Amino acid sequence: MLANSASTITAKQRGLAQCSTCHLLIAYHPLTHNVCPRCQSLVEQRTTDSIQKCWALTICSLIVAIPANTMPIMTVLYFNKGQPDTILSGIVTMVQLGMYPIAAIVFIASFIVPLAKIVGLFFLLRSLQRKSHLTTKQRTDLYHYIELLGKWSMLDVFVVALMVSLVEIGSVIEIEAGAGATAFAIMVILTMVAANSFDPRLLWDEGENQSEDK
Amino acid sequence: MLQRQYACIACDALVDIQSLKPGQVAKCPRCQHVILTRKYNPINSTIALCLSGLILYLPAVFYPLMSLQVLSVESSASLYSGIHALWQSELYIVACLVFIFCALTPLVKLIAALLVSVGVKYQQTHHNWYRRLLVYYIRADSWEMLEVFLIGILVSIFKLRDMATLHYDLGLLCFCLLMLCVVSLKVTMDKQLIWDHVDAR
Repeated sequence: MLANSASTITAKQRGLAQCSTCHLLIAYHPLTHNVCPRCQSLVEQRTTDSIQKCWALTICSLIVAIPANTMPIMTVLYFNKGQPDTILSGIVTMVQLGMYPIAAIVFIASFIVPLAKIVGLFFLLRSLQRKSHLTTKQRTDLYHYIELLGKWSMLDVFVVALMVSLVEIGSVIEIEAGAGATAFAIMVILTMVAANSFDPRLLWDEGENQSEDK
Repeated sequence: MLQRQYACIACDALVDIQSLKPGQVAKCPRCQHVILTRKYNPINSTIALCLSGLILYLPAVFYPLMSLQVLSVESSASLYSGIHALWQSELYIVACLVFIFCALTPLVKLIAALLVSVGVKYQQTHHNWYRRLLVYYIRADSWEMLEVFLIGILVSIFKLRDMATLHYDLGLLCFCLLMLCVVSLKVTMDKQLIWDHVDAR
């Protein structure tokens, strides 16, 4: 590790900005479009309207979470009879059948993680406006976890895709996909885009201005 | 030419980084986020991984992963048939998403990483398409979900195990190996090193 650990100066204070795609540092001119000379992407010092975008997308994903959890994601038909399963009732069925580890995996990936992501984003957004008892470092870590866990919520959608194509045995047993899968997939994408639009650098900017962070 | 100054993507602190040896990691002094990692033998191992990944790609997507037998009737599923079945059930959005996350982005990553690494070897880094390819790789990176799909296979195996007899097919092995190749790209691809090569031209 070779890094200067003297008092930190941010790129913004120096009038620089880093390209988010190729990480090239360029001189930033406000009021114009700054295009990265190396990869032609748009360069921003801070994500434009990051807080507004993130609020909007997080609220949207909270709304979509309702149909995602109440509408059936798939129906198992034995001899053309069956009951539609939502995500939670599917987990309950697995617990009843004694498949505890797999029920735990599905419960964490498709219920806890999306919910925790939405709650975490709300918390981060609120902490930009009010004081929070977490340090900036802890909140940055929280953001990285939210980003990292994002894609694992798609697990249930992939399970539905596999089961639907695998179980098509004439009139004996059949699995049908339900509209809840669409709502669920959209919710996962919305939380991922919401996490992407949040700019963690804002957490540190605020700390600098108030100079109350340790 | 080597880029010496970086800003931490998490907290925007300016950091000067002198030359790193392979295996060394530069972390932000303020927030401990990794800024730069130098990888061992990045170009050659990326080419090897991409070639094996591309060989495995077609069987992994089209070969049946497993098959199910109930009362002497058999049905099998592959990644492709899963997407097809979703499309047939009129879940068009879900079908498209599964296609993008599990079929398209891995392919884009493999092809882009292969061409980019071969380009460094044959000094073709000055072309415009070369930069575009590297940008495609970086964009595809965060939307690739093969490893999630593998856990999805595991979950459906457990769900169906009591319902009927399951057989595992060659496609499953190919899929696991493809996933390993694509995930290992994260360990071998040194994007910043390649950007330095682009600058050097």
